[in-house]
Amino acid sequence: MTEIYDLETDVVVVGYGGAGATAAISAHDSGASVILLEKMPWLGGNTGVAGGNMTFPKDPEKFGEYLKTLCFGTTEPEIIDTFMQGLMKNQDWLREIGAELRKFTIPPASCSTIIPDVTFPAVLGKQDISVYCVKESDVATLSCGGGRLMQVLQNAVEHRDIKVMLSSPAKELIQNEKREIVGVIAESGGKEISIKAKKGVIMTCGGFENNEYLRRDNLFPKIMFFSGNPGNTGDGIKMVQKVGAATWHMGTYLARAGLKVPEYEATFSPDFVTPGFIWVDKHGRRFTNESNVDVHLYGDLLGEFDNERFEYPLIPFYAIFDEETRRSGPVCWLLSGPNVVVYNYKWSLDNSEEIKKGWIIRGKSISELAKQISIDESILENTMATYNENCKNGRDPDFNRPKEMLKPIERPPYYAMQVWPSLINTQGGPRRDKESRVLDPDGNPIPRLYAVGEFGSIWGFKYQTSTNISENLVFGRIAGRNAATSPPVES
Amino acid sequence: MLTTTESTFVIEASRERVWECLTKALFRSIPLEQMNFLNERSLVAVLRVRMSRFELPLRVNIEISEISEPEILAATIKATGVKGIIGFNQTVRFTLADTNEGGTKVSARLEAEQMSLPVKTFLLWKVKGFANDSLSSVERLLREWTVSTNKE
Repeated sequence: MTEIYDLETDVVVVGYGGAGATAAISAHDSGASVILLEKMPWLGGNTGVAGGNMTFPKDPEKFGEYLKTLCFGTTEPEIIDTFMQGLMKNQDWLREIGAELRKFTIPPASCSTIIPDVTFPAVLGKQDISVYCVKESDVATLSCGGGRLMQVLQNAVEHRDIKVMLSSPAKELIQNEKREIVGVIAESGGKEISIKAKKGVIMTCGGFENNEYLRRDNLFPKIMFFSGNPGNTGDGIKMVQKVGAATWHMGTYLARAGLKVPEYEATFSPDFVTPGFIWVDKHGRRFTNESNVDVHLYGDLLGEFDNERFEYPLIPFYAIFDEETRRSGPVCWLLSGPNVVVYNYKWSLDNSEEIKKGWIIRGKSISELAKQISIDESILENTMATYNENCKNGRDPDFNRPKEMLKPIERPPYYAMQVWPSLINTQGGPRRDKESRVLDPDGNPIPRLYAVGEFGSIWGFKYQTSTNISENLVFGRIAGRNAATSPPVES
Repeated sequence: MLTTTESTFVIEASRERVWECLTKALFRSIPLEQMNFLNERSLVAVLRVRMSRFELPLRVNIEISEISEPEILAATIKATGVKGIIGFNQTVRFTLADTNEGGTKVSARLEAEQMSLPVKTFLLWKVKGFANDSLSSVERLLREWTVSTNKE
């Protein structure tokens, strides 16, 4: 490659989400000139459509050990140690760039299981961490917590001399004969451009949840949709593989329950403001305590495969509710997700519009509803009768749903929503070290190439709620600083 | 303060368990429709108030104003209707404390702070009734929901 570039800078950051913005700010503040590329016409990545919560441990040492246990040997302990050191500085750094912070609390009346606490209390005690988010302020105005965080980061980027290029997907990394990454080929304004990166390239291009091939090849269950940023198509994985990167954590992901409708690529997330609902499998039977599935862990619940029938019995499953629940409020989580945050979909407050669209199926009786969703009427009727009887008795011997979550479903008409496992994110991507350097299969860094965020996240087995965004901030700062302070590449 | 309703009762369950049920009991005690979160601490909804043969739909805004787990939960409730002619603001505050016997003492205080003139003149009894009913319902639900847990 001859050294004729369209643009030249010290550091190129690929992806303008939480990780990319942090890396760009950090590189800039460490003295580098920065170009920030984003494939989509909007910024934010998955951070911008996420809940936006971050973790702060009460006892860092104990929490570090907890995270190492959750990683189950898939991530080097020194990486977790580095994460922990950075984690303790996240709040100060956020305040430095203008964020006000507040504690996250469970939304009143929501029946979703969002645990602002330790996700696996068998490993670490409850309330050993606190979960916080960006507070509503003049700068951070959105209802979506991740959106507010992105507003703060965007404000910080705009107050610095960082060149932002939206609708500019990176296509290829430029590698010299010394294996150093010295630039990026991107598309911008309908043409291909080359950008020289004198000090380094930081890849923060997210997961592959919107790439059906990579999903099927790497993840179980094989049938999943996604609820994150539609721009996460895993483009960066091919780019880093072509320059010799190893991959890791490709089978790790977070999934929630999702309503897939033809009008949108990403799913909506069913949620209820009253406990008058149940989940049933595709044969009409309840299968879990609906009030006790962490919203991030639906993949674990739904992944069971029936070898005899050769089917996933829980995919899709159905949310069943009645007229009272329908009138109580939107049966959808409206504080995050691309359909509401980016595309600004306004879900009707009584769900009437979504019934008209056919997203919610209506039946005058349980038997009519069962027919419409192709479930055996007698099985669904029996399921409903048992559940309602359990509500009257105040006990759920089948699944131990707590008493306060038992509310009868008995006021017709009845409704159903077809629900699928839906990826919040994937954690797979290039393997990296504690300095955020991308490694080759022998464990050697590929010079001047860094990765941050969900693009090869450090979480390789079980996920502690609110640590993905925390990770973005920690390793974004490290990657930005390391790239910026590298000596420039020799011409 | 225009009117204050107070209630103190003991629930034979741990403070953590009472706390777990408290917001659910509060929201179950106010017959809201079309609940829509503005963020995770506030929501707007419709409250239908029965007045003999009529039903008065009020727009309600509920905001959790103080939360200190598992001790204090306070919320402001603002209701308006009939193009702003009808309206009242209330604050509700629950304080939980351990009892020596292993139960939880719940102190609830509901204060009506502002009322539009028609409410003050003609509907004060209704607001008081609403406050009494809501607190009684919270108490009843907390007792109902925590009793089986104790046995288990």
